[in-house]
Amino acid sequence: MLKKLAVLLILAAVVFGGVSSVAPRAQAQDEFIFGVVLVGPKDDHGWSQAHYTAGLYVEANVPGAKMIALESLNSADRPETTLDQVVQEMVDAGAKLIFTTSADFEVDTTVVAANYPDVTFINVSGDDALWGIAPENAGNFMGQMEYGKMIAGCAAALKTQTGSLGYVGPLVDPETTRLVNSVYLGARYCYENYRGMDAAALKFGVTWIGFWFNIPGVTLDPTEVSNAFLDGGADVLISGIDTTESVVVANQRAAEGASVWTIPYDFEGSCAEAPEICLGVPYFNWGPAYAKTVEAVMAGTWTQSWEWNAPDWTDINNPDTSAVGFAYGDGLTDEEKATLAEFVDLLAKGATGEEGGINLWTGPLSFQDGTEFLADGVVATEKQIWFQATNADEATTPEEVTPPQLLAGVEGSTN
Amino acid sequence: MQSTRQGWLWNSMRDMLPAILAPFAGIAAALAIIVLILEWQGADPKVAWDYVYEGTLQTSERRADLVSFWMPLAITSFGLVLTYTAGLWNIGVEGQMIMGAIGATWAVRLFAESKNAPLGLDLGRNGVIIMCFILSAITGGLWAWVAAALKVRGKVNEIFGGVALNFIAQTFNMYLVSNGGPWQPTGSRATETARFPDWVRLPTFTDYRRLSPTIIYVTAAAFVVICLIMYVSRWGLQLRAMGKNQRSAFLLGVRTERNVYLAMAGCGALAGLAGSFRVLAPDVVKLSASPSGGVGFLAILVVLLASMSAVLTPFVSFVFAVLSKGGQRLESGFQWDYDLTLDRSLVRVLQSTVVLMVVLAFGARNRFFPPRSAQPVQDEAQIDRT
Amino acid sequence: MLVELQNISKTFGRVRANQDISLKFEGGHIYAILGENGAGKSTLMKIMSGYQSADRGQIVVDGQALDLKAPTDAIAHGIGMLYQDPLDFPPFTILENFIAGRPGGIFPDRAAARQQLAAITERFGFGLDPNRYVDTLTIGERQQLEIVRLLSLNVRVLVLDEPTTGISAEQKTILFNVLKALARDDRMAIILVSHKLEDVIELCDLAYVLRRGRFVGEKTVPCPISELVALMFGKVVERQNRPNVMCGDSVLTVEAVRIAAQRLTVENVSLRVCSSEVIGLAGLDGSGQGEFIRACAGLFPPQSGTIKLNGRSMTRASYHDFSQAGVAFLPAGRMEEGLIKGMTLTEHFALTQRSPRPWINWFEARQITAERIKNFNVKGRPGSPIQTLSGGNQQRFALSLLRQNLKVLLLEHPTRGLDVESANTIWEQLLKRREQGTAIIFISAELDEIVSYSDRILVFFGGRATMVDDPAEMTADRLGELIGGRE
Repeated sequence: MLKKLAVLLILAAVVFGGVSSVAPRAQAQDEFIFGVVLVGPKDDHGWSQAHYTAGLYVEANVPGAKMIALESLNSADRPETTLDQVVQEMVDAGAKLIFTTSADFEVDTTVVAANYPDVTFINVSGDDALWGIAPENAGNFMGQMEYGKMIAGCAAALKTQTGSLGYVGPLVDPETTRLVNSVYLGARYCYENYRGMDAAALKFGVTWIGFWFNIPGVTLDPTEVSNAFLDGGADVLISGIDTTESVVVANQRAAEGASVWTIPYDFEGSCAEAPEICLGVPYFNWGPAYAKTVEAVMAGTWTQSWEWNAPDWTDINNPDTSAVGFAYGDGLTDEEKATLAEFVDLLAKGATGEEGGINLWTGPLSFQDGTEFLADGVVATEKQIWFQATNADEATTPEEVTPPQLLAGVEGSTN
Repeated sequence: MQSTRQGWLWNSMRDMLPAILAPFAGIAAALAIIVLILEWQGADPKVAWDYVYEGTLQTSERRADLVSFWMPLAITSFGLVLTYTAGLWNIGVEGQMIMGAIGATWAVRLFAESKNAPLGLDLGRNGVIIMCFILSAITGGLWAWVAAALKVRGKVNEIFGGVALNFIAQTFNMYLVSNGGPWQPTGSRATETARFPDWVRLPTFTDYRRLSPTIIYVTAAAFVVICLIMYVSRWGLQLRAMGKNQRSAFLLGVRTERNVYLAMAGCGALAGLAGSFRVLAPDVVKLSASPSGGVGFLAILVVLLASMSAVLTPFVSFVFAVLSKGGQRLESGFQWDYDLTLDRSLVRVLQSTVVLMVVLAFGARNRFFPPRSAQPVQDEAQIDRT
Repeated sequence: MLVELQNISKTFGRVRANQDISLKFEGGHIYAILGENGAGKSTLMKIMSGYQSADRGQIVVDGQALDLKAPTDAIAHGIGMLYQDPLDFPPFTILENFIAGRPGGIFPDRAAARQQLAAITERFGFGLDPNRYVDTLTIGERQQLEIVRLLSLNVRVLVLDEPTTGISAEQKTILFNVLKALARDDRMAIILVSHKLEDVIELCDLAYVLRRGRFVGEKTVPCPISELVALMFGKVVERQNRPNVMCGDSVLTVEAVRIAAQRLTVENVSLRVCSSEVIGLAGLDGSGQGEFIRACAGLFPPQSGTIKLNGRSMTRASYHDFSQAGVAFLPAGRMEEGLIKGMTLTEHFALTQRSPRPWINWFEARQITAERIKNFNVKGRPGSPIQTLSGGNQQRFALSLLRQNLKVLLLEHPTRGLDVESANTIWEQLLKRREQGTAIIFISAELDEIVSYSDRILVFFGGRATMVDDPAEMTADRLGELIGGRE
């Protein structure tokens, strides 16, 4: 009993004994603070690092802007806190603008934003502003990554020797389905037109791990998924998740002498782990969109919007203008790079409406279950591409949109 | 007479001093190590402490957030007091929490979201919330019952059974809320269920929108029940006996198998309630990808550090809640104000350091200053023949 | 080579494991150290092999006193020990194990080691393939490996702890031949530690017998087995006259039970016990009496046969059913099975008290515990943790916890480890219960205890039991023959 009492007293002493006043840190007068909430680590070589890098870009390019970031906000890594609490902490620290950078934050962002009408919220990749569900102070933006993914698919098709590609997918939703389908369309086009092979012979498999990154015991292990693809005959691993397991695995196999390649995702520098076997990376360049938003909020001119930012077709890798890019990897030969550049040129012409361009979102396209996505000759609308659903334009609420599906020809379930 | 009284005084001092000094020494050692780690990481320990304080206790809102994390941790610890006292290493508590979270969500779906509730019941807000608590206690308790059955019937150690059941519960939870699972709303992009309807949410304090008084009442009630069980009831004594020597307890007439089931189920029910707290929290109100998030494992540390004492668990779990939430603020504070990125694992290192040092201090005390009552009597002849 | 143990004494807490033991071992002979469990054999061996040190006394080899700090010291002085569970490294091969136990630095000479291994195995006809992994070997083969290893270290005295447990008859023959050859040809001293009388008679030249930690005598072997038994179990004392109880109704009826335990099967044992009767169970350790008494308590369900209490069938009933029906069981290992270390006397009392109330009235529990302590002559306070009591007081307290008016009381070694006075007080209490009508069945390794207190004796050997109806007319020779299995 005495022992218990002693422990109790000491614990109390530890908790309350050291109480001291915290002087509020003076905030610089002309400082504009914006918060960035990341779902994964800020050095994940993927999605979260791309956002963190954008925040640094803003700090470097917008005078007076200062970022406060919180990484790894998810219930497994930070069970002790919620988005609501983090937003409060950031607002208490002076944030006037908060980027929430995950689909998992979308619903909460919309709810929390209503509590802070003076703070601007951006949920990256969400579409609540499109539907008018979000309050006035919450908007969305996203990059047109499907072009990057098409280029990635093309690069894979140019390289593959076995005619088999493996895609490590996160979880099924309209965005990820859209990106898988984009890769497939790009790969099919290039396999047929540049390699001169039968598009039907191209094997393209997807395995969904269940989340944006590996949570041991919760998701499939992306390392195992990658190995399974390579064991099954695939020679190009394409990553759709936030982290770079596929690069690590392909690099190990290459070190053992196998002819395998990889295409990571999200972050411009993610080829650095294994440049020789990397065919390139379709990456987000969030900097310009962040900077634009920060400047608009600083100037008081920001209004709610849903934006789907296109690459700068004059130079998709321009850090100051292009929303998405494709960094060529050392795994491609010069000849293949030239072919790929030709394909990018065709995409650019198609997107800008120039003569001779291509738009791969052109019918006939059908889904895995045989239903028609686009009739012959029909070009998809923006919303149809965004939701990967034929009825996207007619729907008035998100619930009415049919669930997304993989295109016919892709192996892998949508469950 | 005088000398015996002095002897008694000396003897009790001799027992008490190390007992009182041991945790002091442990905490002091932990603090010293933490200071060293922080200095090595380039962080000023004084500032670090200010952040911990600011992030947990300084304002009433932070205190409210602290309590909403503390309550599920505490109630899970109460449950674990039952099993750990009985010598059952209920590692499966994490899965029991997840099943409780699923149970609470199920209750919401059955009675609040479904167009045709069972038996056409229209329970109203309080009814649905009570159903949430009941169902979560049942699902959590049943999950623990499975671990107990594996142990008693299948001779599977509760640690291995628990690990397996944790995995199954987590996988089942993921199945429900991800990749178009049955509980994920159509077209949703987030790995979670829809937010529960507004009318079934827990009541909140007017000043703190993220804290519900209900979970405080439920936790307090659970505390009273656990204290009654541990300190007054015959069953609590049986559990203690089982924990010290299950074979002897059995031979002395304790129905050990039945008690394994009951202790596990009781713990599972409380862990299940903790799971319901986590999904019903006013700033959550949905089933997420990882509703337990390791809180169950944290509760195991709490109970071990409290040496299975029911009265200590609220305090120890409070300290752990402070360390968790304060650790997060410490991390963000240094990053935002000083551009200093502390290692992500630092918070867990700090927690483990406290546990390790206090446990070591008690170990050292038992090794070098064993309490007299635990020492064998030296002179047998004298005792036997007087 | 002459090894002398001089006045070896060793105590653990309040257990006197060895008291003033002096023995001599000469090269060229095979010795036996005989004794029941707890007689002090293992302790003595561990002291000889450097595993433990003696409190008093010394080990003298060829006139030189040794100071053994570790098993390696003992080996350096030529004393090697073969444990019951061979000490080897299962994931390695025989050769690697052989090398691992030898001095030879970081880079052992594998070729030389292989040669030596081959030479020794060939000489003794051990079929050990150096490349086999140890975890694929039988216990007998692992034993052979260990012997080879010890011989390669030039051991002159080989101590073997129960070496015939768990090995095949064929391996036993090989082992015995090897041991005989080592004694005869190499003039080594072989010491067999065992309680298996057949092995001792077959192999040894001289048997030293220990009982209750003391050396009680030696016998040149071969000799009648009953003489060894008499030494191991003590003298058969004059039975005190006491009134015979009138045998009332039969309380416990065991008919033709068969109990399959790990090492042996108890076959076709029957027993009818009437109230107020005391039955002693005698036999060498592991002859089946332990399994039998546990079956009577509901702890070991018999494969066939029936057990009835007051005419009611209890054959498949659980321990708790037996206990509700008035059967109590007090096992030998008090602190392992029966009492709970770390709990006080009052807590023990509260735990065993049957009450419909879900809570405990601690005030009342303390009061009643204090009364029990007084009535049963227990030296201790209600708040004392049980482990602070001496063995006799623990046993008396354990008895005080049993409820009154039991039908049957089953005890394993009720007085083991207790001094004479404590033992007497325990029996006073037991006999009091007997007067109240409780039937008592007990196991003991002390023949005098069995003969003095039993109304009838059931002698076990190899899973079979023989009933002795009148202990008063029992001679030491007759009992020894029954216990030793020679009818």
